[in-house]
This record gives sequence, structure tokens and C-alpha cells, in this order.
Amino acid sequence: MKRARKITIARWSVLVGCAGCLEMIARTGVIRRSTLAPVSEIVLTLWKSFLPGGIQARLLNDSSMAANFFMTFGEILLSFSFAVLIGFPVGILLWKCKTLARILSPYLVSYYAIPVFALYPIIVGVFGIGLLSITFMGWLFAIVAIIINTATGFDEVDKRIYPKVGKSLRLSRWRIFLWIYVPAATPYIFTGLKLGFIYSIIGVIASEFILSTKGLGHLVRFSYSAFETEIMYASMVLIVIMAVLVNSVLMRIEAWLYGRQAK
Amino acid sequence: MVVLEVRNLGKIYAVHEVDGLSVEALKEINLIVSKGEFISIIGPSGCGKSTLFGLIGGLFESTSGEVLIEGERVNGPHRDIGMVFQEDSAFPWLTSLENVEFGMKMSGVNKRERQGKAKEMIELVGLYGFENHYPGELSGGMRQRVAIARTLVMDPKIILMDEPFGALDEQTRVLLGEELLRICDRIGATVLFVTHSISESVMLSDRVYVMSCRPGTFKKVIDIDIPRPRSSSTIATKRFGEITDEIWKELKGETGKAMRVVSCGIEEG
Repeated sequence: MKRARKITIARWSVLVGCAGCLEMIARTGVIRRSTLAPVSEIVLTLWKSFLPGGIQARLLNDSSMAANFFMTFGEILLSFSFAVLIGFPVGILLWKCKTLARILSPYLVSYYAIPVFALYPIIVGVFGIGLLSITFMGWLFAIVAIIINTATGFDEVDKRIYPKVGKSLRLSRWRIFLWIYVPAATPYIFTGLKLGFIYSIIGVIASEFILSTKGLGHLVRFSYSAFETEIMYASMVLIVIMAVLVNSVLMRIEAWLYGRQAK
Repeated sequence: MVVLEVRNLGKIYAVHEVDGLSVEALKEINLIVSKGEFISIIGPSGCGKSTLFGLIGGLFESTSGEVLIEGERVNGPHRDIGMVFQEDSAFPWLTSLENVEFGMKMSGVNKRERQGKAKEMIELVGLYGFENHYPGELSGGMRQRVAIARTLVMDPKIILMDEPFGALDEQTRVLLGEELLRICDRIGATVLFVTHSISESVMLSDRVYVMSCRPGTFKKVIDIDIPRPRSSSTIATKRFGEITDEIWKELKGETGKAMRVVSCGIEEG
């Protein structure tokens, strides 16, 4: 058997082993059922919650699991997309305009030291409760990671040699940027995108705890207070699966853009 | 047939615009290169070799004089000039093959044609079997082969090389030099080679131009009459030693001069 295959098997074993341990702990009653549901029941609940009429809508906050999932996923995508749409150009601007970068750098560097969630009353005051405030929170959390990493990525491109290569091939400034600078900065840009996406998830889910009546974040809080432990864990598992899947999609795009070295 | 002609080329850098301080990096450079010739320019570091390289390649503008390719005055980078740099310039995000294809892709050559040409060139520079490797998986010498192939594949009339083996170890350097001779012979390339290695210049060239320092100008031209084909064993011949010695005597004074100048780096542009 090949080494790579063995490693793949070992990786899955870790996951299965952890799930098995949790199952045992829950089944033997070491931790109360109301606190920790057995993994098998979580998976079953997750499955049933996607079937029509499988779980009473009342338990799912009067909507299906799928509806809650797509609500949250939509908010995350929306906030992430806007963070990229604005963060990427701003990152480029900071790279091009060194004075601006110097002016803003202390703010950008200390940005994540600020507990943004402590400011939620302001956001509620301005945007109200619902999609807009949640998306805004996800956006606010994600954008600076994208700005910083984009600017750093372009800064780190070897300026001694790459522009000379482009020039000697008679490329325009725009094509040098597009075909040399952008791919050269890709590892940093994608670090920013991956971080930004994770921050979007955190921003959206955490906002849903307090600012929403729908979505997975709300469902976690709602089922927690309603002692619906299985539904709570099912929602958590769904959040984790979503995060892992999108992250691996981003990694694949990066590997495709930057060759095998990205791994 | 004259491929490249450099007439009275000069470059003055304004060091301090307010004070009007300036440094004359190059002065009265005259050079004629015929088709198929291999010409080396040698000089101490900081004498303006790289400035001259950049001026001929059109990377920056001269203050005086002109550069002509087949009698036609050039401004800026020219299609007929290919450049190979000292620095590691192979793009790490592209495979060897994609690196070699890059220039053709940018000038709109279709995929089939450019892949065919790139594969041929990869084979010529001895990278057969490494087409799908990324530069990170190759040695320094192999990466420089990729860079050379990327330039050669554009079929330039003259190839400018700025210390292309400068960052490599001695053995790789000698071997790649030998390879370069073989490749140039195969495709009948015309090469202008900038170096600070005496033995490299003697080994490769038909003619060596020795530069003086501050301002950089050609101090002496030495014809290398060692018959071709040459190989690494040429180094052991008596004639090789004599010519090397002659160039070294010319350079000696200049190197001393260059070392007395505090800031030489400015000419590297």
C-alpha cells in the first residue's frame, strides 16, 4: 500500500476515532445526555432535519433545516463577497500609495484587537435586526484581513527582477500587473481570502446568536435554550462542514492558480 | 552582417536633483556585434555593466548616443532583443513548460504551436523530463536553464545575458557555460554576455570588451583566438592562461579604482 494512501486512511481514522469516543462518552452517561448527544443521533437528526416532515418545524424555529442553512450560507457569501470586492482593490491601493499605507497602518494593525461584537448595539441602531446587520458584521470582520494580506502580497513581489522580465517581453504595465504581479502575490492573497472567509463565518454566526430569528447561529442558541441538544449539535456540525468545504474549495483554486507549491 | 551597433552611448544619473549632483555612469560606449558572434563585456562590479545591459535592452533611457538593431534605432524593449538576467527569474507559479511558453502566450501564439516550440526548447537546454516541474522543485542551474529557454524560444536576433550564471556554484557555472556554447552553436545565436568572471568570458567569447570604472567605458578589446569547439578542458591550455592573464592585467587597476569609490552600487540601476 502506498504511503499517501496510508496517510489518508489514518486521517479518516482520527475523525472516526474521535467520533467513536464522543459516542461512548455520551452513551455511557459520563456526560449527561442533555449536554452531549451521541454522535450517531446527531447525524440521524441532521439527516432527518433535511427530510420533509422528518422533524417538527416547531423544533427548527418554524422553518426547515435547509432554509436555515441557506439563510446563513447566503449571509456568509454575501458578506465575504463584499469584503473581497472592496478589500482587494483597497489592498492594491495601499500597495500603490505608500503614504496612505503609512497613514492607515496603525489602524489596520490594531483592528483585530477591537472586540467588534461589543459594538453590536451601534450596528443594531443603524441597520436594525436582520440580514443587513448580520451581513455587515461578517463584512466588517472579514475585510481587513483581506486588505492587509493583499497589500502585503503585492509588496512582497520581487521588484528587482519580475518587472524587468515583463518589460523585456514588452508587456504593458497592466499586463505585467495581471500576469506577473497577481500570480506572484497569490499565496498572500489567498491567505487573506481564507482568513477573510473564516472571519465572515465567525461574524455571521455570532451575529445570528444575538441579532437574528433565523439561520444556523440562531438555531444553535434557540435549540440550546429549548433543550433540543440533537438539533443544536446538528446545526454545529453543519456549520463546521460548511467552513471546511469552502476552505478546501479556496485551497483548490489557489493550487490551480499557483501550481503545486501552494500545498 | 552587423546585428547590433552601439554608438557613443552614455548615461548620467542625477543623484541629487536639487544640488544638481550627478554621476556619469557610462561614457562613449561603442560596440559592433555581427551575426553569430559571442561578445563578452567584463569589468569590476560597479563599473556600469548592468547599466549598459539595461540601456541596450531598453529597460531605461540613455542620456546620449544610440542603439541600432540591423541599422534601425531602438527605443525601449525590442522584439529582436532577448534578455536573461542574473537573478532567479523563472516564475515559481508556472511549470518549466509554462514558463517557456509565457512570452509566446503573451504575444498571442496559439497553444499548440507554443507548446511544440517550448518542448523543443526545453529539450535543447537539457530539461527533458522536467517539463511539468515547478521551479521550486529544480536546482538553481536548472532554473536558469528555464530562464534561458524562455528567452531563446522567442527567437531573438540578439541575446543579452547579464551574469546569467553569477548566482551559481563554480562547477554548475562551467557546465552551463559549456552547454550555452553548444546551444548557441546549434541555433546560431548572437550573444552579448556581461560577466565579471575572466575565465568565463575567455571560455565563451569571440571577443572580450574590458570596461574601465567611473565613468564606465571600454578600455580594451581582446580577440579570443582559441579555436572552437571549446569545452571545459580548454581551461587547461596555455593560450587560455595567456589571455586570462592579459585580461587580468587590464582589470587589476580598475578593480582597485572601483574599490576606492565609496558607493559603486548606484550604477547597477
